[in-house]
Amino acid sequence: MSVMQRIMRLSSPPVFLRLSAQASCWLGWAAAIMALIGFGYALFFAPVDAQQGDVYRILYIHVPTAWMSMFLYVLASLYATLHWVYRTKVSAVMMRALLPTGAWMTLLALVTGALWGKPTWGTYWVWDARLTSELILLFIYVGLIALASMVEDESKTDRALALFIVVGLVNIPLIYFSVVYWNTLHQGASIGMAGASRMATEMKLTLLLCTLAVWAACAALVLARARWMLLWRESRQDSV
Amino acid sequence: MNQMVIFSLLLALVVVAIDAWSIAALKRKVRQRSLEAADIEVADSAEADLGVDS
Repeated sequence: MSVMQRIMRLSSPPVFLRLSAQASCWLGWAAAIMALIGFGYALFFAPVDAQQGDVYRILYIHVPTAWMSMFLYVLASLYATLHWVYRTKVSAVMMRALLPTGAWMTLLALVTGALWGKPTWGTYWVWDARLTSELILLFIYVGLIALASMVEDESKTDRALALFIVVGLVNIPLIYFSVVYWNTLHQGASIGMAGASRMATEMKLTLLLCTLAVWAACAALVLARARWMLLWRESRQDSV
Repeated sequence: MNQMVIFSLLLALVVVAIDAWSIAALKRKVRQRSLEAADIEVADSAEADLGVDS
């Protein structure tokens, strides 16, 4: 079986239902264990920042949730594109299931960022390019969730929703590069794909573990939601 | 420990709990519909056994 055939096999509802049940359970447990270790270490053992003191520990929640808010949107766009091309039930439920968790992650990133901003910047909020574009992402998520729940028969709004999700993707590079192209109060990336990091190794490893915990929690929640959304659609079809 | 840090962590836990609760609500809705569908099936088969023309 080729790689493409294997991937296509995942779009079969019975295969997806079986795999998502197992994966969401395992990912949920993995998230709980990693969160316990990661956030435990971040709170009690990670070194204190020389300039910010203990308040910098908020970043162990803020950074993973901010990354996840963008990553989940990119993933939703990918499934939206797949839905336009193949129109599978799995792609439709996956693009829908990613939206609420993505919105929650965006809200968490904004609130924790504000809580960190007050003691370090002296203000909860500034209309800076990074903060404003992240707020726009939250509005996009909320708008898409509203559109997704407008019609009782979800399958009727799938294509419109997919189109709007892909259009909203334009905001993601704006968020990511806002600190590069504009003069913002929000600092640039401390960890990059290339080049030396400006973070201590101990802090970086703790952040990595916290990020993996948040990623696993989001994956477990999204897969569980997608599974029940798919079963909801199947039950609707059975009852009609 | 900084109060803001504790509050942020609690907020993250609340958010995960709300998201999980919304999934549990969807699960209940699906199960409810399955039960209703099963009831209809039982009623249909009972009617068929009694010779009622539906």
